[in-house]
Amino acid sequence: MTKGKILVVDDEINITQILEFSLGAEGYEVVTARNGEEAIDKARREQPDLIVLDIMMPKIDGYEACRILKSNPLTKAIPVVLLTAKGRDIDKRLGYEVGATDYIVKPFSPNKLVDRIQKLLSCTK
Amino acid sequence: MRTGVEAIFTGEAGATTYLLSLAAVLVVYLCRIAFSDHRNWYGSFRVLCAGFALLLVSRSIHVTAFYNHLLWVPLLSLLSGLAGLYCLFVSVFAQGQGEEKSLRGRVLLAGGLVGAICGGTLFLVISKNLAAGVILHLFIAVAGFMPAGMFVASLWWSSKAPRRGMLFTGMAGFFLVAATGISTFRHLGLVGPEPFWMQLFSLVDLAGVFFLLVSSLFGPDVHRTDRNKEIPIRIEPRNATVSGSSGSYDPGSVERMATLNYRIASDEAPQEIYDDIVRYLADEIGAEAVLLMMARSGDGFFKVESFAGEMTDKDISPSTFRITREVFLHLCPDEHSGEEPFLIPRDTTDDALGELVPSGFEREGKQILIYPVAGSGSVHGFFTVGYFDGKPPDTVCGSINRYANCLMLVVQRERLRERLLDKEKTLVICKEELNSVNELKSNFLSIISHELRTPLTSVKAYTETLLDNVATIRPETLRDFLKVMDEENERLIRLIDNILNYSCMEMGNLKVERTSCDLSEMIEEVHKSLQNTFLRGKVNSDLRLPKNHIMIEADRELIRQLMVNLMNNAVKFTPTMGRVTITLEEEASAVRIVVQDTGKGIPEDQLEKIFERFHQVDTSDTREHGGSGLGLAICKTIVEWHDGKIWVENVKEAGARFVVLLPRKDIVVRQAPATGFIGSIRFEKERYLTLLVEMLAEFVQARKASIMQIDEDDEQYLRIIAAKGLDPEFVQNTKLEVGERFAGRVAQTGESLHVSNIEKDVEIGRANNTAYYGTTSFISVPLKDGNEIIGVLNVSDHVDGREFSNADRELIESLGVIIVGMLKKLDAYMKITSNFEKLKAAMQGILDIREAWGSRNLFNYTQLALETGRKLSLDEPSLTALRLGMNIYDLGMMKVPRNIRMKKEELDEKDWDKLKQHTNKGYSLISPMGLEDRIMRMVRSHHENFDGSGYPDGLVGVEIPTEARIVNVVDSFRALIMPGPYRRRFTIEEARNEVLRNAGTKFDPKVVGAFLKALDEMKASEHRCELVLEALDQEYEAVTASEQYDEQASGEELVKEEPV
Repeated sequence: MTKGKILVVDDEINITQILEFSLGAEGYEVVTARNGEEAIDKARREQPDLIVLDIMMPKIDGYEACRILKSNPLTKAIPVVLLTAKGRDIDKRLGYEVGATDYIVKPFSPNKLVDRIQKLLSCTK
Repeated sequence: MRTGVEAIFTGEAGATTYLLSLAAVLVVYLCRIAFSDHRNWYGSFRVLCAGFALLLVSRSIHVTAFYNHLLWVPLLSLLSGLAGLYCLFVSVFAQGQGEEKSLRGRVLLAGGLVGAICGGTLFLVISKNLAAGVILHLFIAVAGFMPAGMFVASLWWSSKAPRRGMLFTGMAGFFLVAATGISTFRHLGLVGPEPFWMQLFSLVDLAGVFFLLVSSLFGPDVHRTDRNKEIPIRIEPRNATVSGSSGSYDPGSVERMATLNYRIASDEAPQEIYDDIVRYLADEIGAEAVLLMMARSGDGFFKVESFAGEMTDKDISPSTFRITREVFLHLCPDEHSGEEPFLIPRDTTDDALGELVPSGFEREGKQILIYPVAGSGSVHGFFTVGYFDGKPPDTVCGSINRYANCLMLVVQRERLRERLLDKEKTLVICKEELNSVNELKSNFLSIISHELRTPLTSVKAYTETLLDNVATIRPETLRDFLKVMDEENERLIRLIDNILNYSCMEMGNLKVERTSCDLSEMIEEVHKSLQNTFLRGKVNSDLRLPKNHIMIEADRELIRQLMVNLMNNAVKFTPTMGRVTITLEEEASAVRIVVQDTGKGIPEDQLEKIFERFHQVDTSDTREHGGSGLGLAICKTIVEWHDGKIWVENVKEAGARFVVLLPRKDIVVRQAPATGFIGSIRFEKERYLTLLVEMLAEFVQARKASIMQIDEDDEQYLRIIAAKGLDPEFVQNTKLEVGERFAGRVAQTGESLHVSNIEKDVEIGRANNTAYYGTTSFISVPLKDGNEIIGVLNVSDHVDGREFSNADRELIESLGVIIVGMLKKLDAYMKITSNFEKLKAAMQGILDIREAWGSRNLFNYTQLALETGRKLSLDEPSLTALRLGMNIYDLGMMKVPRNIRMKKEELDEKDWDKLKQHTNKGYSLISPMGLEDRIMRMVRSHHENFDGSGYPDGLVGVEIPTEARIVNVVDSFRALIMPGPYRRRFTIEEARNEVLRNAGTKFDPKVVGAFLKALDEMKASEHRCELVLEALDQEYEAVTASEQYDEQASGEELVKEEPV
């Protein structure tokens, strides 16, 4: 029995890999995607409990992907955590505007990320 | 009886006065010309000449009358008088009228007429015809009055005549001519001989001289102009109204001025102000027509700016009228500045003056005033004001002046405004540039921050995770994690390296250190080190290197980085399972590196931009490829530092191809065959040649440059002595026959050859010219030392790929002169140095021979020779020469191979020949020492035999110098008593007999006689004999010892020749 299913989207394999490890260690089921397109597709099919989304990605960037997810009734309710190197305030605001629940700036601490995710999930559940 | 006045003018006192007055006039004039800010010294000089001539005439006739001189005196003076008159006319006319050009023709005509008539009458005078003489003198008299008449006429004619000065000149003319007349009449007997006439003459003459003096002081032409004052105006002083008639200011005028000033200050458009100025002016002075012409557009034209009044001819609009600045200035009376107002006369026949006013502006019988608007040294426009019957009143000029000043204010205001606008434009451009730089910067920052954060994120995340799970983590996971961290670290390092390197390059802090490096090896190395990158990117790589290793002069580290960047870039843009091909090729003068990928290529419009710093084809958030945008910019910088080229092209099928061309060769200096110079000299010469070539190439920005010189040994050939951009082997081995190829042709003809584009040059053509592969433009210039051609300079391949121009050729030609000078200096230096080296060898040789013989023995044989010389009663210099010669005559022997010198068996023909060389060798060895001739000949000829059977020159008898004959005897004696290598040792007695036996054949009998006596004396003197014997014993021992030594030494040593 997993604590929940989490979709991790990043074009950097290293990031998805480490999150897979950390979240997996905490008992989550992790699904990964390499870009925005794949993320939207997987979100619809897998119906994860939470999405960790990078912004700078090929094809469809994180903002756009988030907007699409939020506009789709199937994925609308899934909380999105933006995990990105874009750390300026304006980037953050834009992130919240497109419907992100949380915004974490790289470089990040996997522990804290896991904590946040746990908190978010406990809130929504 | 002569009166006192008369006395001054006649006789010797008269002559003195005369000369003094002439000198005074001359001095005054010269002073004025020297010290005044004159305008026309030529004109004043003419006035001076005229005055002189008149004086001459009157004086000479006068003198003739009194002393009854020959006829030629008055004739000469007459001639000069006529010339003077003519000059006076010309100057009076020209200066008086102020419109010199239009009247000059008439004046010349008048002068010509007078000259012709005078010439005719002159004939009559010579024929002593009294009536003719009278007519001539009448002419002179009339002509003399003409200047005065002309002056009056000019007053009437022109308002610009300098009245005072002209008056004086006219008066001088009048009085001098009158004096001439009186003296003439007296001479001819037409007036009585009463003293009254003489007194009258003297007074009139005095008056003439006085006025000439005065006119030289205040005469026309030489008037001062003071530029600090208001512009001088001959009609009126400009400020006349201000000072003289301020009461005439009408209050309306003051108000108008104030309004105008306010409007000018409040930035109103100039056109409106101009219109009002013209309107106000016309109104104020009551002018019927006022036209304002201004030069505003900077095209050199004065154009109609505004007009008030009515035109008589309404069909012609003033708006089309314009006049160039040059024409205007030309038409102005004061040609230099054009700042003075002037009147156009009522009956302007001169078409040129008509150009000043538009047709339809003139009015019959009226004058038009042209009033320039000038300031800060240039004319900006002018008023054309109509109409006047004569010179305009002061008040009018004052008014115009005020409005002109107003206009100047506007002009200056506009000029300032223009300058401001210019500045503003520059500012806008700067701002735009700044903005784009700023954009680039923020773009760069956001990219860099992302690029920095990505690897940092991984490292941070992995490290933390590892720390958290340090106890539980499995070894495989640990390894995986550490590997990721390591890779990300690498990435970070690379990025930071790039940034730092680039900033270093930008700041110019990085130095290129060229060393010879193996490019093939380096590329292979880089390729190997990037294996992981290829693997990670799942990209195949293909390395194509040529069989032989390619060496280039380059900075190893920079080239390595170039390759790393190019390969990384290729991998980054190649999709999985793609292929990166790295090719290294060798070209004639360059190395070509091609890195080709199978990515999606580069948009055509970005082909050049991608080498710009911070440039990324895709800068959006969705870009697939990271990177700082510095990699390629760094590549470009590196390649350029190596004088190479880098570009990218898209491959048809797929992908991009990056091509790097690196010039392979740099400066090469031909190595001369070994000359035995010490290393440092060679090095010096190479350094100079390197500099010369570098200078040559640098001057015209040529990629290839070479200096060729006529070969020292074979003047039929040219050799490259130093070159840039050519293959070292080529430089070393090329020998070009004079007349062959381009350089050879240049060396033959002595004329430069300049081909700006070889493809287009029909005569040269590409076909017959394989040596210039890759070259389109080249210049060959002969190096000439006087008339002798000593070499050729060649340059080709401009760095920018453009053609060489004529200016480049001229530059190289002048550089050629410098290079010839430097080469000559260098050669001279080399010669001196090599002489020095030879000298050193000679000195060493002398020391060697002393060592070989033993200085004691040398001393004894020298004594023997000297004694012989004394017996032959040689003079002191000869004895001195003999003493020195005995010490060195055999030094050539040291250069004979030891195995021949010491050979045990009989010498064969060849060995003998070699042995016989020793006299020549010795001779050339000491020649740089600059020794006395007889010493030199002693060295050379000490093996010449008396009967001519000796060597090297086969001299006979007295042809051989006495000293050499002595040396021959002594040397032979020495050889006999010395144990030879292949024969037994003679005793002294035996040797003595042997010498005696050869007297007359080998030796000079006289010398032998003397020698035997000397030897006997030496033996008789117990002391000396002992010395000799002792010496001989020592020699014997020494030789035996060396024989033993030679025996001990193995055969190979014997084979080995001594260095020559």
